[in-house]
Amino acid sequence: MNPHFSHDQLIDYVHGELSPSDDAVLQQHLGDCAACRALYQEEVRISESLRSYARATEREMPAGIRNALFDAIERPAPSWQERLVVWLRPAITVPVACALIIAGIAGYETTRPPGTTIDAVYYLDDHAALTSSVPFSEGNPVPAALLSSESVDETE
Amino acid sequence: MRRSSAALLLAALLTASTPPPSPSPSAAGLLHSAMIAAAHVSYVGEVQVLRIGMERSDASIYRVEHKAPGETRRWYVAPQGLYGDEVITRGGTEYSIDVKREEVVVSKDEDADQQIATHGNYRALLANYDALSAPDETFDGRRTHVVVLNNKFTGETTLRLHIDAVTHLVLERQEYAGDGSLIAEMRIEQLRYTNSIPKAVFDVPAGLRRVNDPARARESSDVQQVIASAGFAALVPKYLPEGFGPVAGDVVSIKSVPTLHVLYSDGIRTISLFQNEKDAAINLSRFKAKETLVGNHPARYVEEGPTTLLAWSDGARHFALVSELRLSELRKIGASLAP
Repeated sequence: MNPHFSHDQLIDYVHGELSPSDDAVLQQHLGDCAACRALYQEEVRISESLRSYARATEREMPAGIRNALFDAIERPAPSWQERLVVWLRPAITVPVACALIIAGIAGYETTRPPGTTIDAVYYLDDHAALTSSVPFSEGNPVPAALLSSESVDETE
Repeated sequence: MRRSSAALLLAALLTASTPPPSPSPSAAGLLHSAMIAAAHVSYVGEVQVLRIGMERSDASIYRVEHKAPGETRRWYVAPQGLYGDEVITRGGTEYSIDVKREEVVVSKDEDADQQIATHGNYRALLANYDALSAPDETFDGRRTHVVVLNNKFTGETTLRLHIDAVTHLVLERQEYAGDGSLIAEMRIEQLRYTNSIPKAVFDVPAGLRRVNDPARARESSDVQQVIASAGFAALVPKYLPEGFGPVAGDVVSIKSVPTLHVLYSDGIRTISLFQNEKDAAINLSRFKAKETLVGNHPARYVEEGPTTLLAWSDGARHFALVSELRLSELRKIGASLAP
């Protein structure tokens, strides 16, 4: 059996940072060495936990919103007369009127019953799934369930 | 249905009635042994899958851990969008683990139907292809028997398999188009046979949202019964390329529209025919679709790697054909769909 690998090497292995030859040697070693395998599995668990935590806590506020918030905090609040004057300017009232007209038209359009469409991805995925019953078939190189965005609501 | 479980189920079907392979097995015997090898051999390695199209190719690389007879874990290294995702197969159940969406898609096979469908495909393969032995070769340091499958009707080589001389596992599979060009390849590298794969490898991680995948769970090899259950007057093609026949089908409701899917196969190559009668056209907005004709009907098609999807409507029904066959063949099949 090969000598044990260091913790750093196991971490590099988990993150795919080893050279191909080292990677192969370590992979083979893991199959034979329970101690290294336990360390490896522990490292995988830690990595997955960190990734899950990072995904759960990641929130990036758009720069525009952040700047507007700071501007609003720093600017003194206008009086009600100043606000009324701003709202009655033609530069505001004309676009608002146009927007209301467009929204009315769009609202009318969307009340029509929409034609149903079926995403072509569904057909490609289902073809790949059934094709896997063919001898020696490798099916779809990219697993359909991991890429498909089309939901199927019920099966008959 | 899934490749690994398909091999397993076929193994269960065939092993009882077939003698063990002789020291110098025939090509047909090797094929049989290769189909059931995964049910007997445990291994780890890295699998590369490549599919080559006219305009685009798809590739994926995954590490595989397979414990005979029916446990397999695939851990994706590439493409980048799948990095870290896993597919765990345990018997007839497959768990597709999407680490980015933090969800597990669970697919369950109807074993009996899949067994029959796989067996039907195998019989079609033997009926439509001549299995020939080529000289042994070395693949990734291992001696392999080479089996070539030639189409009986066209004489063209369609499949070339490198089969491990000791375990009979398929180490490399190459599929060719009618003009001799390579259209698909699968190869296992860094292969190591081992029985010491920890059981925990096949555990599905806890804490992920589970999603059932009913769409592919209830396919049936009783195609006539499936067509009858579609709920509308489905059409069947009057023309299919030589050797092709129906092997499996299902009816799935997509957005409340019953959609019939029938798979036709000659044992290696496949054609999927989808149809629905409601106003549910295909959405090709994700693809660069081109225009053509099916009979007198305007049609559109897209090419995804070696796969072509052809879609059209006859006014009463919407149709889609998906296959690795040429567009001209698909148009001919489509034009033969008439009441």
